[in-house]
Amino acid sequence: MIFAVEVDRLNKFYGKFHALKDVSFKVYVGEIYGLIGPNGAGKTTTLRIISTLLLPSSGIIKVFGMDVVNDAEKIKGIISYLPEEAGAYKYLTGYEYLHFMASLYTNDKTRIKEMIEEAEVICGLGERLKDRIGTYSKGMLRRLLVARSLMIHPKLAILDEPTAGLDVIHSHYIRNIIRDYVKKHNITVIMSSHNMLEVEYLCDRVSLIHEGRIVLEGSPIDLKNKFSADNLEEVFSRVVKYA
Amino acid sequence: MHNVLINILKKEVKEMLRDPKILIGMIIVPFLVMVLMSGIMNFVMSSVKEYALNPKVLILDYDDSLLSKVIIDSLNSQPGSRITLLHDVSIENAIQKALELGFPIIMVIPKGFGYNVSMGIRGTIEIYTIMSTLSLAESSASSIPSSIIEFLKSEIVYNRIKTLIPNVDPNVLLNPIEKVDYSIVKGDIVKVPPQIISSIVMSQSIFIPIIIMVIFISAMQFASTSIALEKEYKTLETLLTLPVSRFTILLAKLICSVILAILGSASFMIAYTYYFHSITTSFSIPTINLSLSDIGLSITPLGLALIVLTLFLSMVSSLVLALLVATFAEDVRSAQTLVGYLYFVMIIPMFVSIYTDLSMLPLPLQMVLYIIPYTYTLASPKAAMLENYGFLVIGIIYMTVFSIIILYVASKFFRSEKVLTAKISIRRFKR
Repeated sequence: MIFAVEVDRLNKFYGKFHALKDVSFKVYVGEIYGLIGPNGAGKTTTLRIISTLLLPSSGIIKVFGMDVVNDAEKIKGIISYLPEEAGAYKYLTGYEYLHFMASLYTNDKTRIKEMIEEAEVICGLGERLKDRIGTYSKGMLRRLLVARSLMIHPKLAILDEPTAGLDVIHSHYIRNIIRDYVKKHNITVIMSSHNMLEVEYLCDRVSLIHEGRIVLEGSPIDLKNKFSADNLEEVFSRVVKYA
Repeated sequence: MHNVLINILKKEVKEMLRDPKILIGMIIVPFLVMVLMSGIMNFVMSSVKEYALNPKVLILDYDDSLLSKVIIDSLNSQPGSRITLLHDVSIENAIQKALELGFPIIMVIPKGFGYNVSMGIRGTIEIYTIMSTLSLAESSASSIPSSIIEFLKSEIVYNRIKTLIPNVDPNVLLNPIEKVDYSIVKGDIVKVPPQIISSIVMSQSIFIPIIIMVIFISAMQFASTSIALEKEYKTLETLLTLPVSRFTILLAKLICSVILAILGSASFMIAYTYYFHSITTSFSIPTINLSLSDIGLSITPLGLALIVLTLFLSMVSSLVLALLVATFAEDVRSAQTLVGYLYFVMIIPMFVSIYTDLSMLPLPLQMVLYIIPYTYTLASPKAAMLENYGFLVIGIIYMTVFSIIILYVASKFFRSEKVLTAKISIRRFKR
């Protein structure tokens, strides 16, 4: 069976600092998988390694059966990574940005047009796409970037804190887009979040990372049942307390 | 790969042309500064000319002799001159009068001047220049009265010699030895003093590379900023996960910086040509009008092609170096500081070239200088004039190899995770 993501005993050192300690998990094709944990737990490092940005110090990481170290170039063609604090080119218009991004994936003009049309629907920015990105609010920029990540129909979307720093309206919009869109197009998502409500709402399964280790894994419902908790926040605090 | 490169390049160029800082700072302002400078220089030169060629002189003639009359008539006969003659006023009053009239020059011919000169005693003429603005134009206002006095002086001397020693040519008596300067350039004899040759070569071979260095510095700043901005605007992480090789990203940034440098240089060169033209036409000095071909140093088409190639490659190698340095930087400010260190390296060969020839330096020092690509830019016009094509070709090969190696090192570094970990090391606790 091919998994969308297989992480096996992943370790990462920054100098002497041991950032990830024997992290292992698997993400099934088509599911939304969440990494949750406090600041500095290792979520972003894990996502960066899966997206080929960083190299693992040890361990095996595969994306759709391809090794992140040896097949990085191939992996880049099927993934889409949305960093937590991503920006965009402020002197380009929204349309130009989307066109630029689409043109890096294909030379086919019809396909590029389709991607942009799809992004228009995803971001819902309408006429504002004709304006320069420098004039966008934080929420609008995030919507544009989410649209950029999903318009190419990646096999795996890696979303780091997709709604971080956004107000309720924009967060709600983005969450709905992720849920509806990825299910419709069978896109696998691995995401990180601080927001337990968001994770509960979106994710099929979650992993709790604490101090570089995975301390808990399961579906939100199973985890809540296991700890007789009302929500994931409660599960989270109990586990972290005893971890 | 080909299409991807073009797409990234298009994006880079769009960003560059839409960034007002770049468009204004690198293309429009240098152009306007040059045009403005030529306008100011034209104005200065025409006012200098106006002052020098149309003398306005207040003459205070206490002498009223034949000789003082000759001087006054000579000045009066100058086209455009305005002369006011006073006889019985004090110098203070004459100054007052000159200020009222706006005359910058007061010429005082003391009593007994004509008599003294006729008796073989030295006569004195006083010239007062009113420096109300301390400008170059004012200082040149006395040039015609002074030259008339000089002319009169030599006429008096010649006449006296002729009267005293009738059989001798006064010219020969005053200048018994004549020195004639020749220079031997590329084996040919040229009847021009070596100082003039070196000043022509200097003006034609040093000034332009210096201007180009200014353009290089701006382009290097741009190249490094374009990398650093990707980090600062948080677009680098996304860019690095796209299906594009990192070498292609660097190459696109390099090409964009080269385009900018060429645009900047073109704008500067057009403005410079205009400036130079307006200076030489309003300020005609005979030595400046001597061209390189007049002194046997014309540059052949092959030489010119090699100079252009040298300039291009030194531009590429400087930009590649700036890109490499910028990959180490965390943000725009540190990128610009790091690139700033490269300017010092560029300035060294410039100073050396101005004051001496590289070949006159001790060998180890020469070798150090030849490592710096910019050395070849400075040395190339001279080498082309002297038809030293071997040197130019070696420079071109060196800079090509240098650029490729640096680009390779930069892309190697860009491919490693270090390009991001500088940032990570600071945000260690924000995973």
